[in-house]
Amino acid sequence: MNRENMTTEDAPVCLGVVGSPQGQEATSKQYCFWVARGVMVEETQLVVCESVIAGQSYTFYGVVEEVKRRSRKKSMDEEIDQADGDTEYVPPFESDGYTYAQVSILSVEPAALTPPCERSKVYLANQSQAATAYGADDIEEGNALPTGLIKNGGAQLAGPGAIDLDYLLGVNGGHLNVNGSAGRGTKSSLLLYVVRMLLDYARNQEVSSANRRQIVPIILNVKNYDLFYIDYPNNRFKPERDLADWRLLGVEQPTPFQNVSFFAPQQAKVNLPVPTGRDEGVKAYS
Amino acid sequence: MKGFDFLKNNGAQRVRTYDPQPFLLDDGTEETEASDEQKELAYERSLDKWRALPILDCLPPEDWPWRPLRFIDGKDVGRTVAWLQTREGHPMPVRLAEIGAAAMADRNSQLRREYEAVERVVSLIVNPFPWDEVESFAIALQEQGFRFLPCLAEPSYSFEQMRRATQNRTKEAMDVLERQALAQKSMLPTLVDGRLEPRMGAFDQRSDPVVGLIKTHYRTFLHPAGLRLLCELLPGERTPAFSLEKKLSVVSWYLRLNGQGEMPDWGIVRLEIPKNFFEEVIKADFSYLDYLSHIVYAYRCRGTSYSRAPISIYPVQRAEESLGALFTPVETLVQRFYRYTNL
Repeated sequence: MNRENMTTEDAPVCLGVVGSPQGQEATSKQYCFWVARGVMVEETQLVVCESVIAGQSYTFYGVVEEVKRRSRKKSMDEEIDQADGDTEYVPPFESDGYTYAQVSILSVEPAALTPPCERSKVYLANQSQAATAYGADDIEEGNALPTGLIKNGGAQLAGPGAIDLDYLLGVNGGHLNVNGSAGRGTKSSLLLYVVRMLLDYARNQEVSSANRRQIVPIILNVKNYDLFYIDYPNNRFKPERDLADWRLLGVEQPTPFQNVSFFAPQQAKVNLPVPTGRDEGVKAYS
Repeated sequence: MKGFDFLKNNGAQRVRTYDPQPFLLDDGTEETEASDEQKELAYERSLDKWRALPILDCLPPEDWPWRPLRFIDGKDVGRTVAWLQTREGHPMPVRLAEIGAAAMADRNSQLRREYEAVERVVSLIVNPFPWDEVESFAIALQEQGFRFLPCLAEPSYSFEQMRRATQNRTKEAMDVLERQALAQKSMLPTLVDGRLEPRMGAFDQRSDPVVGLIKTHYRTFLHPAGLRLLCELLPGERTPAFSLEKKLSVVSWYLRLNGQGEMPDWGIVRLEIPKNFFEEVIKADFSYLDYLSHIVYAYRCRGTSYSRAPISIYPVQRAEESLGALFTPVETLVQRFYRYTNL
C-alpha cells in the first residue's frame, strides 16, 4: 500500500443506492445498498450517504460489513437447470445478477438515531469523511495520536486513524485494548508503535510548556526475546515499500528505539540475568 | 358538483378484491372478430405435407441481421376499487390500475432497459353521466397523478360485463404505451410480447423486422391434422407457417419451447411476423423462420420459479420483471385512491 492507494478528496465515487425492501429494512444501525454496474465494493470500505429526512439533510457515515452477490435465480436448482448441468454451456445472455452491500452506521451528522432513506446515493468516503466517521474530528486539536492507516477496502487507504490522547494518557481514561490473532506479532508491534508515537508526540511538545507530557514506557516481555532488540533496526523494513506509509503517519524517517534499558530476571546463585540472546546491556533483577 | 364528489354523489361504494365472476345475463362468449379474417394454412407447404419441422440444427450465422435486439412487454395491474350507480340503476365499476411498457435492449448479450413508461389510470364507463361532472372528476384525478380513461361502452346491468369493459380500456391504454416503446426503434429487429395487430401504426409492416410472441392461445387456427401435429410437437420443433389476413397480414407458426408439462398444448408459443416484410424484404425465404425459431428456442426460460417459464423467453421475462419493479403495490395504490376520494 502506498500513497497511490489513498482515497482522494476528488470527485466522489458513487458506489450505489440504498435499498430497503422487505426483509432488508434499513435501521438506525445498518442499511443495505445495491452496487452500481462496473463498480467494485469491498468489505471494510468507508461509505457516506446523504438523506433528506423531514426536510433536514443528514450524512450517514458507515463501514461496509459484508458484500453479497445474488443471481436472479430463486434456487440452486434453477442455477443448474439453466445450464442443464453442463459446465461448458454458455447462456445467450449475460447474467443479470447484482451485488449489494451491508453497511454498519458509524455516525450521523447532525446526530440522529434514524435510518437513511431508500434511493439515497452511497459514496466512497474520502480521508476527511473517514476521520469524521470514526469521530476523529471530535478530538481536541493537538490531542490526536496517529494510530495506523484506515483501510478502505482491500487495497485502498483512507488516511491515518487517530486515538484521543485524553483516553490513553489518563484525563478521561488510561487504557488501550488491542485484539488480534495469537502469534502473528501484530498486537505487540502495534503497541510498540503506539509507544513510539507517544514518545515522538512528547518530544515535539514545547519544552517550556506546562502541559508537556512526560512519557516513560515500561514494556514487559512475556514470551520469547524479540523485545530485547527494539533498539536495532528492523531487518524486514524496506524503505521503498514501507516509508510512504510511515510518512502518512507523520514519521519522516522511522528509527529504532533509543536509550532503552533492558532488565531480565537474575539467574539462581549468580549475579547474572537469564540468557536473552543479547550479550550486553541487560541488567539482572530479582 | 366538483372533483371527487362525483363518486359520492353517485353512491360510490368500495369493492374488495374478488375473482372475476361469471356473466349474469349471457354466457360471456366473446366476439372472436374472426368473421372477416382470412387464413391460408397451406402457406409454407400443402396441408397433406404438414409435419413437424425441427429447428435445433438451424443455427443462424453469426452476422445474421435479423436477430431480435429489442424486447417489449407491457403490464396492466389493477382492480375494480369501487362501483357507483347511474340514475337508471346501472352498476358502474371503477377500475384503478397501473399500466406500463418497457423495452429491453440486447447490448452485447447484456439486457438493459432502454425505455419505460408507467402511468396510473382510472377507467369508468362515462356515457350515463353528465360530461361536466366526469370532466371535473378527471381533473381531480389528474391533480393526484391519475389519468382518467373514459370508457365508452354501453351501460348494462351485468356488472361483470361492465368490469371487463373498464379492464379492456386500461389494456388499450397499455397497448398505446407498448406501441410507443416499439416505435422508438422499430427498424431494429424487435420481439413484442403479444400479437402484432394491436401494435399496428408503431411499425412499418413492409420494412420493420418485428416479431410477435403469443403465449396464450385464445383461438384455434389449425385444421384437425394441424392440431394433432401441434400436440405432437417436440421441444425445438415448429409447425409449417400459415398466413392470417385481417387488418394486418401476418405469417405465423407454432413452436414448442418446453416439453415438461402435463397438458399436451403446454409449452407452445405462436410467432408471427408481418407478411409484407416477409415477402418483400425476406423474399419469403422460410429459413428465416427456422433461424428465428432457433433463436427464440435458445432464449426460452429455463427457471422453474417463473410461472410462465414454459411459454416465455428470458428477455421478455426480464422486461416484465424490470417493469414490475417500477410499479406500486396495488393495495397501496388502492388505499391512496380511497384517501384522495374520501370513499
